[in-house]
Amino acid sequence: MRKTLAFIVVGITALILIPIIMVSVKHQQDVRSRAAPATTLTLLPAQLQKNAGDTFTLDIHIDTGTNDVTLAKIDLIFDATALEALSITNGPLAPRIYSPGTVSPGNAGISIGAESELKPISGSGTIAVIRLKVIGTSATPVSLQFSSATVVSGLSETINVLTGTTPAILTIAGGQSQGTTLTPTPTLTPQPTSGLTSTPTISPTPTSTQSGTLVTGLTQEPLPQSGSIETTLLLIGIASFFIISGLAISL
Amino acid sequence: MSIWTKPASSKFTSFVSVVAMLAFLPLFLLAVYKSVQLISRAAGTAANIIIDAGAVLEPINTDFYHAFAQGGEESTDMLAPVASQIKALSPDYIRIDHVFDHYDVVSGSGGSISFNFSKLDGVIDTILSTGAKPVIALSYMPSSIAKDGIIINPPNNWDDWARVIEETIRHYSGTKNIANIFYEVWNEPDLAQFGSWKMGGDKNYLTLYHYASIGASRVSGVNRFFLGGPATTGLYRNWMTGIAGSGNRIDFFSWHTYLADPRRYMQDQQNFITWMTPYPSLVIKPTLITEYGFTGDKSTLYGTTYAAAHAAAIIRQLISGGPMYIFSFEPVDGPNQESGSGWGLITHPANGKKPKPRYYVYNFIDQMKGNRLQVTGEGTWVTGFASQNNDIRRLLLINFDKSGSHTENVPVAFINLIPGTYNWRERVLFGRDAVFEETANNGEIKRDVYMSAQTIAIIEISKKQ
Repeated sequence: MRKTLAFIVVGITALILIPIIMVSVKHQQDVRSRAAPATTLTLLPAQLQKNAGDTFTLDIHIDTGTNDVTLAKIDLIFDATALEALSITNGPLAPRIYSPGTVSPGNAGISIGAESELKPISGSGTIAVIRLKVIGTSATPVSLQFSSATVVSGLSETINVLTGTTPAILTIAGGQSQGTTLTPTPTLTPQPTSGLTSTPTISPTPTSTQSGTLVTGLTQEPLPQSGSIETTLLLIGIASFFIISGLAISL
Repeated sequence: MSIWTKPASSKFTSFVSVVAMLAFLPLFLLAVYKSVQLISRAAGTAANIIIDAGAVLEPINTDFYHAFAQGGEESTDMLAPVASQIKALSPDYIRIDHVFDHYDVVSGSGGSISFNFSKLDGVIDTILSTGAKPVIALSYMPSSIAKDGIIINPPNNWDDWARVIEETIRHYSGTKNIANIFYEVWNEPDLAQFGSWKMGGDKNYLTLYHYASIGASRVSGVNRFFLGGPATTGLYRNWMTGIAGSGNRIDFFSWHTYLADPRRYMQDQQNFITWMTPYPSLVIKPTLITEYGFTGDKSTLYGTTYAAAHAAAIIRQLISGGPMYIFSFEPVDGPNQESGSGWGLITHPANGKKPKPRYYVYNFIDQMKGNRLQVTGEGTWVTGFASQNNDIRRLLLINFDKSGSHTENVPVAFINLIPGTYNWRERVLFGRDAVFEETANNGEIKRDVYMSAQTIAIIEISKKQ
């Protein structure tokens, strides 16, 4: 009887403990597997040929790997004499715009991201679409690439989770010299060697108490210019003139 | 010969000249600076608006500006007399502050603390009657628990403050059964009038926030609610990163903006994203501008089309990638503002409850529902955004001059259209409503639109069958 009771107690305890242990181990594995940047950005199609005057679109494709992405700050650069960016907007995988798309000669940018931290961007797909026009010719293929200001933020990560980008190469028909062929080459994003300090904590409710640890290694945008150098020099010049004139008269 | 008639030596004359020069130099520099400022202000870029009908972007959100913040110039329900007029603006949220010092909510302290929400319930019920949900700025310190009884001071016992927050949230998100309330910790904590709280020291906002979050954490079994802040007088990096790094619950970030330059509002949004990028779970939290206007001072301009054009210009800047909500300050004037200097959208009941020009902006801009179209060529004063809804394309055009009364004849072109004949309708808020017929040559329609000072217009084109 005692033996039977002992077996029953051990069996019930095992039935309770084993699932708890399995979930705990899986959670640790999930945390460990997310504890590394793994996201890549690619412009698709990666190679294309257009004529002067053509309008076309490129998809900005993300593969999050093992990351749960919350925000992507996209910054694209290209030859302003060959291409004009007409518009840039979010794609199906990034439902929210956090900073509107901007286009200027040689540059296009947008900040897009997840609906909330409860629904991060995970997997692969299009997060943004850029529309361009060929406005010039070029003897060599023209590349559109992600600048170093491109940053991707991921849950439970304290550094830029972007590990690499792949540009698009455009050949403008009529301007291509024979024998010149370029293949899009993925660019690796340098990762800081230190900076991982916080313990990843994933909380699925709005009561998250995840500590925000400030991180080094993320690209900082330059501060906006304040004041006017020209005005300052003008004022100094006028003041100097009057000071010297006044002194000369008084002396 | 006296000292006043005696001829001065050359050295003395030189000395006096130098001293006089140094004394007047700052004034001279200031005069030159102001002159340069005036000259540069007169210069700007005229607009040349191009709407690309082929560049269809994201859906336009016309909800985010249907939010209003009422000040506490009277310790009564200021919204009740104008509730029907506010309801007509289809508000999503209405914010109130002074909840703990105007409505006798808290009495006693420590073990004898008690709560009576009946007066505050009246205000909340008025908000609900307009169709809106409340944003409750948890302010200020109940006098019965405040140091020296001063409502902008910390409490004698921080647990009392936590208890006040706990009971407030339990009452409104639980007992009153209101979902999705935003609870904002304090109002303008950095302002001297509201306590000069800092990111550290004796009056540490982070302590105030921490105990508020403790109070919130004790509430369960209620409707979803949001806790956030800091509701500062402007967007300040150290406040935002301070709260972000504090480890407390934060469901939204909030600040106020009283600036005349519309472009600063989007610059603030972009700065916020940049500062918060190292906090991946917080960078995408909702942002709220819980009060905004062109100045925090009372101004008769609030009763003119200047305020209306300013509000429209702000909405334009934030139409994409902007905050979850921006709260116009304030629905109704306080008392004794017959001079017209009140902040209200509507004059005080004692002054006739008259809507001012800014009152009409929000519903006017609602006509822009649809998908956003790419617009280029905005100028210094004239800005706009465009949308497409079914087969109708619209352009909202705003002429806002923060410094003067600029007028402009604006070239407007819609490109990449299907060839054919179009109706071109121009509707100016408080002005003309005219229709023209235009033919799209090479897929383009172009007209010049005259924008008088501080005006808002919708240009609408639709293809004739």
